[in-house]
Amino acid sequence: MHASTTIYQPSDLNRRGRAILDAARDGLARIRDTDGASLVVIREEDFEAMRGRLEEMEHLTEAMASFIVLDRAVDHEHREPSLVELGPWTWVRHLPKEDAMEFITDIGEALYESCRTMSTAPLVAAVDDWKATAEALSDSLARETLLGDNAASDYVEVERPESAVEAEVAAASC
Amino acid sequence: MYKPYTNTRRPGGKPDYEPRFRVLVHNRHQHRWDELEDRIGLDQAQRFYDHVAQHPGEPAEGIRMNVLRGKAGKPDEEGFSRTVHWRVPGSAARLDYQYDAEYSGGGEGDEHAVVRVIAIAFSSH
Repeated sequence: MHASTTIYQPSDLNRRGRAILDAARDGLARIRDTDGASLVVIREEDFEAMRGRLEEMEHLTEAMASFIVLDRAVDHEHREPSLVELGPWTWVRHLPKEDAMEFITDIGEALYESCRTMSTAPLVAAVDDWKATAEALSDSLARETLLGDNAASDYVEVERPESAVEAEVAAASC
Repeated sequence: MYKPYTNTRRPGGKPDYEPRFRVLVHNRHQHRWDELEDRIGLDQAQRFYDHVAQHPGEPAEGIRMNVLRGKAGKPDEEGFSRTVHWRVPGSAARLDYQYDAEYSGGGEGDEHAVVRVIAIAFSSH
């Protein structure tokens, strides 16, 4: 974005309107209001891009703060985090205890990658996978089989679910 | 007990394609599999079956899928994928499975691609 060094006055809005618009289209136009306030005119797409980046940075900052609190409890003080310390990740309580360190390691790596690339995508992907894991483990029967040692003999083969009409047709063709 | 050449449900019901993977369900979740059609509807039940029978692990349009992390995501046996979490659209139901395209185990040591549905759940937590 090219930043014009010209500072326009309110009176320029009528007299030099075209120049102000051109400056805004080239990067930004700065206007000093009569009370001294500095105003900036920029393209809307530039404004939206900056706003989007700011939202991403706010998200990353919040996640970083949550991560530091959680990491301090689990990795430094070797204790279970409280509900407050879990912050936005309260679903972590559904994870087995032995997964807590792996969760923290994964989130730490995702945060690093997100900060490096200025994108929340790596963090969002890691959190989404862990949240799905906690969701899967929240059902008691699912938890037993997902965390258990399963053998080939524990499984039975199933057919494609079929409608009553399909079943009749299939039975008739046998 | 998994018998590689035995179907456990009614005969027939063959899809109009040749399944690449045999679909197996953990015996403790078989009652939930039997309820699947009533719980999520025939279309969604068949959609899941068609997905795992043909393209397990691949993205499916309109379906939120994740690969589970931690212990729940670890393969049951060497050669199997990590656990894939399939959320049924418009429902709290989800199914978790692993797959092995070159599975050579089983009761009779035959070689065939298999999908193991490890867990089925219908309720939200």
